[in-house]
Amino acid sequence: MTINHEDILDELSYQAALAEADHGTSTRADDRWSRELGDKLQARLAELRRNLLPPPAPIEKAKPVRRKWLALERDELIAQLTSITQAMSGAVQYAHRDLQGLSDNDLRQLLDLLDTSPRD
Amino acid sequence: MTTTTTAQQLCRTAFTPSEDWIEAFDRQNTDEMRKRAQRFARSRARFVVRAGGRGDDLYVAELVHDALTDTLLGVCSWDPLASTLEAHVFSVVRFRTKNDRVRALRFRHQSLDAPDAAGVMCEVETSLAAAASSPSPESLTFSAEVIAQLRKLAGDDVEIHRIVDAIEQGATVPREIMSVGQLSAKTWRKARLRLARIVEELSNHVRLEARRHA
Repeated sequence: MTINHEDILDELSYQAALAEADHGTSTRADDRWSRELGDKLQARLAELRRNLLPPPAPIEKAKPVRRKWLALERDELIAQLTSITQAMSGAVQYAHRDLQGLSDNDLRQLLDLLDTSPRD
Repeated sequence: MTTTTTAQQLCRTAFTPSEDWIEAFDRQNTDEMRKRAQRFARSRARFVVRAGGRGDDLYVAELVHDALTDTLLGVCSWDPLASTLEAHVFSVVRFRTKNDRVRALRFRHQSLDAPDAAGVMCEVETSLAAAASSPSPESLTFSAEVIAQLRKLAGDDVEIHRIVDAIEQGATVPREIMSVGQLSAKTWRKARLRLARIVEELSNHVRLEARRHA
């Protein structure tokens, strides 16, 4: 194998540099430099991680509640909801077991959401 | 309208590594690894100084900084399954210091008014171009002189001469150097450290020579 002097010198320097990495010492200034570089690299890593996130879903504007629901009082709204859920026997589910915690407006929006009839 | 794609534009192609890649980089990019890389780069910079190039602290810091940021930018590709981040950074620093040395040597032997084609090329292309070109006869003569100087500084340190002999015979990895040079692992570790001191001494000699000629 033929190896030129430039390559020999490169290899000698490489081995010397490996020894320096293993046994050399670092100063306080080196420690500070290393920490600062680490912070800079962390910022870039955070940017790369952000790039992996899916783009935020577009915010959909809520449609106005149908007039027929606006006219109902709380008791009537709860009765309607109960009848719909019973009629659909489990095909419809919503997170709220206790409707007491929902406002009248929440109940109207829930009914409007379950309503499949065409809008006015 | 005509569009021109410059080398710089090609180098700016978006790099989107996987989550595993980012995790591997984050885990291995430790304070200790960066300091080891800095010591490695400092030693390699002496190799560039010997050719008349830069070797100051800023240059050393740039070598490590650029190796790591270029990896994060995708300019230097790193496969975490193939090598550690440290080995990758060391090889980038080795590659660039070798090219800087070739460039510095070329600069010593070329006229000052020669057009600097590298000025319009991005770092990667410059590195590739420099690596592709074979060293000039002057560079080889200069390297031979440096090796002769190194042997002279080694004096009667037989193990250093054996290491140089082994590398001259084509040994590159420690296992080969130890085998060809007939060195035990312990002797090799100690001799390599003495080699590092000689390389350091060698660059001081060059600085003194430069001052003498200034």
